[in-house]
Amino acid sequence: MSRYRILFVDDEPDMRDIAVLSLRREPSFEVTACASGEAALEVAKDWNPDLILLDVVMPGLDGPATLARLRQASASAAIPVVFLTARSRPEDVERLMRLGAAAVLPKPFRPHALADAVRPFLVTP
Amino acid sequence: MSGDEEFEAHLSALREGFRARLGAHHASLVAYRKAMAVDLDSVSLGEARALAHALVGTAGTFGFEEVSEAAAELESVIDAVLAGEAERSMIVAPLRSLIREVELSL
Repeated sequence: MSRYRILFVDDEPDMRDIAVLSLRREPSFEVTACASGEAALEVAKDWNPDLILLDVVMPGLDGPATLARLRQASASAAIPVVFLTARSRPEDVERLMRLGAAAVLPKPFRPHALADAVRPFLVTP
Repeated sequence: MSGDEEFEAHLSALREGFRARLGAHHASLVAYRKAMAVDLDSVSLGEARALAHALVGTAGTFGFEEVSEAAAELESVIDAVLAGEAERSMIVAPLRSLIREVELSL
């Protein structure tokens, strides 16, 4: 069975806890979480995730700025990034997709459905 | 305990932890409402907006949909005020609604 590494990035501890729990329901997912865009850059470089789930509004390096930095680094340039955002109006989604996101998923999300929601964005190794 | 039962147990524990933290959020919102009552124009909107934004995602994900929806309304009105499209006094009603929804969830 293929295993996938998923990095979840959100400054809200509650959101990290429930996302990690939700994603780990899927046995093939190996999940880690971090609280900032800056930390995400380090984890992406060292851990080489197959998918990054990225909050948009964060203090410091926000989601779009983090995505831009990920794309600049050769080690993380090709990793699919899915934004999770509480602001998912059509114009917001369009703006985030233009930045190179694989998808934009809304917050709140259903804990029972998150693993299935992100599966289409994983590339089979 | 099966995998599903274990998941539900963990989810329930996280939800109750979040509910407990809602009490602190409630205190912050009430303090904000009181500050607005004293001097509407000098209250900083950034902190209230940040809290509302956080509650939209977290409360909804933990199953407190009414809190999430009330927080989204407050965030939207604060954004309109910050954009110069609404008066500061417009914040009062959605702030009260959010406080009420949080109280109902405690």
